[in-house]
Amino acid sequence: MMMIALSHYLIVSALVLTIALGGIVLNRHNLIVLLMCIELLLLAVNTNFIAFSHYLHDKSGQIMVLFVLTVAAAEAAIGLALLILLFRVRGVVQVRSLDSLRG
Amino acid sequence: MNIIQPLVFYSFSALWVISALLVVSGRQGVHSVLALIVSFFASAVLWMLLEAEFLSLVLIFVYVGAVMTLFLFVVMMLNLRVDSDKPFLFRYLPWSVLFFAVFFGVLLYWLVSSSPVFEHSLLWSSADSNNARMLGSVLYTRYMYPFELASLLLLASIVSAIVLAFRGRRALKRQSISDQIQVSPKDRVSLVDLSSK
Repeated sequence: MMMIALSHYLIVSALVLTIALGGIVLNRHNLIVLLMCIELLLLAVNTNFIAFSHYLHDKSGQIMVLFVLTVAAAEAAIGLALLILLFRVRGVVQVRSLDSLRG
Repeated sequence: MNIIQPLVFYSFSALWVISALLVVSGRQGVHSVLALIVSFFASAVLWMLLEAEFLSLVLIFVYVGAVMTLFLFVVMMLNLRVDSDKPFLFRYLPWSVLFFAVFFGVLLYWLVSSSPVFEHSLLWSSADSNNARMLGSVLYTRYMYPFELASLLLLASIVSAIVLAFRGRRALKRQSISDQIQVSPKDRVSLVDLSSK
């Protein structure tokens, strides 16, 4: 009989967190994919919160997930508004082309 | 029961990881958004397995229903052209894969080395416990102040998103008082010399 321990959930969310971090670093062609990688990062963190909340029998972890979801939704809305503004000004949303401050 | 639970866990965590890889490696924005929706569903199933039913349904309804629709709307509205960044990717891919393998190895080492804490299998609460009621009883008493702050944050994000994306009303007929004051008679009156006959 095999049971799912807490560490199983932690390993899966660590794997997703690593993938999302790699996507943020390696992504050079689309700013929208970068925003989606941030969403994925927060999803992995939320899964950790819920796994620990279930493990410790404490509902405060789920409340934290609720707040993280709120912040992530606000971040997505403002990020997409900035993206639309950027597309209107520059005509592209490529990360590679956003190097005006490099000089 | 004892075979269903690991089966669901392993299949949906594999689905989550695969769809996360598809989000990262998607060439087109639409494919990445669809893969992200799949990954939200997979993690919602994992949260359901952890007895967080309310948050799991919130993730599906709010995230897949609203936020992902917003992403999809923006991706389709901007009409981005697809171009490859193969040279960049091939230059930096080996080092970053090495770095992230080491990163994940450190996380895994920490999880395995601290195994006495984490190896206990998860306990299951009784069938008549109500997740939403328990969350509400904590949220509206102990976390009342952060809850109000979260609503304020949402209000601020609504206002800032509208201010950022609003372009001003076009084709609006109204007075421009500063233009009216700064106008000089030469701009308005032109004297035409007509020779009298």
